[in-house]
Amino acid sequence: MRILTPVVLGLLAFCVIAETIQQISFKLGSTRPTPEGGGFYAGILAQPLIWLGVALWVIESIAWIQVLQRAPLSLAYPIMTLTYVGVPLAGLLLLRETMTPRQMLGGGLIAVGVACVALSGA
Amino acid sequence: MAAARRDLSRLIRPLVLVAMPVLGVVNQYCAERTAQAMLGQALGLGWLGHALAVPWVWAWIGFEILTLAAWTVVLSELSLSAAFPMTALGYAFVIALGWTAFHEPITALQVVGAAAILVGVWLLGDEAKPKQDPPPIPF
Repeated sequence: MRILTPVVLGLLAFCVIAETIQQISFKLGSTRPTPEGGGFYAGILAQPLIWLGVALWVIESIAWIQVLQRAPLSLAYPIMTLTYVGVPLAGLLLLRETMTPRQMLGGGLIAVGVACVALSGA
Repeated sequence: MAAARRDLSRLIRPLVLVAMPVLGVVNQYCAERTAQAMLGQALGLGWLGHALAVPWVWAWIGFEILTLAAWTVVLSELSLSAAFPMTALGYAFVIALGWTAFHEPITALQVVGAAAILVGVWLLGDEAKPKQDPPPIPF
């Protein structure tokens, strides 16, 4: 049973990276100071980073459909949890945020779990 | 006014918490049905046009927006450590959805991996830092 072909793995990697950038865009876009006047949501919608996030969401959804046409949902979906590792890791490297030992253990367990799931489809 | 709003949020909280994993399952059900409906379509402008004619796509978009709204409420009401186990539960539900509704094969290694992921997601919600950056929007 070989489900996770290089094409599927590439698509999944793209989805994880797109999701990570999307999360960071949404985070930075929603915390940036908004222009004077207008409500909270109007201010957020004026942020280009929010629209980058929305565009990434659309492209990622198209890629996700391609994944689901080639691999079972129960195999592909757990691999998307790598985003949980990617976002704090990006925060650690780019935004100089910190991770507690408990969070590092959690991230490590997710990585091990994803490896197990991926191996079962390799 | 503020007190009334607090009462309302107290009522909504358990509902939203249950809604998160359920919405995760609904989103992925719509995604899988979309993928099945789009089988055999070559990527391109025609693909997009065809996708917009699939009812599952519109259901998916609607539920994704609902999920985003629910997640916003969860994060405004709860600390991350309280919200994170719920997102782990969402992953468990989606894996179970694949095995039951779509009759996907299960291997022992997959079960072990899924369990490790669930514990990992739960651990990531650190109690020591209740208010920090929002985690990825699940599902």
